[in-house]
Amino acid sequence: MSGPARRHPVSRNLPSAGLGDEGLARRAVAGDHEAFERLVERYRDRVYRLSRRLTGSASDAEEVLQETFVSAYRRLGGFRGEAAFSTWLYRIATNAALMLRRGRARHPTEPLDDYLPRFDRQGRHARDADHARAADAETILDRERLARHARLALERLPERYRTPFVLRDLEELPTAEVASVLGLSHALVRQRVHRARLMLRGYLSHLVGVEP
Amino acid sequence: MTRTLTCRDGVRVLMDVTEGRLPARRRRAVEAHVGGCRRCQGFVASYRATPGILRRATAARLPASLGRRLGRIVRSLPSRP
Repeated sequence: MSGPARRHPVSRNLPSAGLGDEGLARRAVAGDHEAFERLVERYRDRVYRLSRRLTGSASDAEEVLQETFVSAYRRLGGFRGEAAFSTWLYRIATNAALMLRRGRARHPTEPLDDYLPRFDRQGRHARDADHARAADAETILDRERLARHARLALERLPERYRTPFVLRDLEELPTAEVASVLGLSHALVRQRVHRARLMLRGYLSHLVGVEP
Repeated sequence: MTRTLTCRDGVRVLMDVTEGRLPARRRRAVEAHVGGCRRCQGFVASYRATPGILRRATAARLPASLGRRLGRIVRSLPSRP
């Protein structure tokens, strides 16, 4: 079996440990394979977690993970550093996940619009319920059940809300980075994340026995 | 003439409120409403908690075997992109 040192002899001679992402990317383009391996080590957990959240499936996430890094390597020569390396990589991963989802014949799911808050004619919350109860979902619900429903809820979010919500609220990227990854305005990202939160809050409320 | 702020108005700007992005005058109006509205207080609490609950519930760790497989794939790539 051919080991990395034999295939990439250059890489072992160039110290790249202290370099930032962009420096590693430049080294990788110049033929320092170890530099690219460091980038993979740095981002593989995040890319996998993002892929799981966007695809909802372990096997799809595996495919996206591999596709992301192979594709990133092939396109590395075109990385100009205009955006941060992380933004560039997240864009590749997000697109790979979305392409995979679109190619899959998914069962149609009911959207979460029914869980948006309701108001009476005076603009007051329509129900006098325990609106705070959803905040205690982790203590009320069994962990496995909550995890299952959380995945289901993400699955039921329309894509235009799910992707910005996952990037911003679950992966905790700044709004500007999400906007750059998705090619949307900051205002639109915030609007979509807000709507996703409202739907998910309502869904959690429903899970703990309170209608939103 | 200023209209009395409603729960619906507050929910509309809730993201801006929770992230401190609302102009001071507007923010004070929302805070005054929420301060006197039990339903909104509960709503704000659960709205704030939602991202964290979803984040923890969907956190996935990269399986070690997949990490190793990815390493092999990466090492088998050509020596230059």
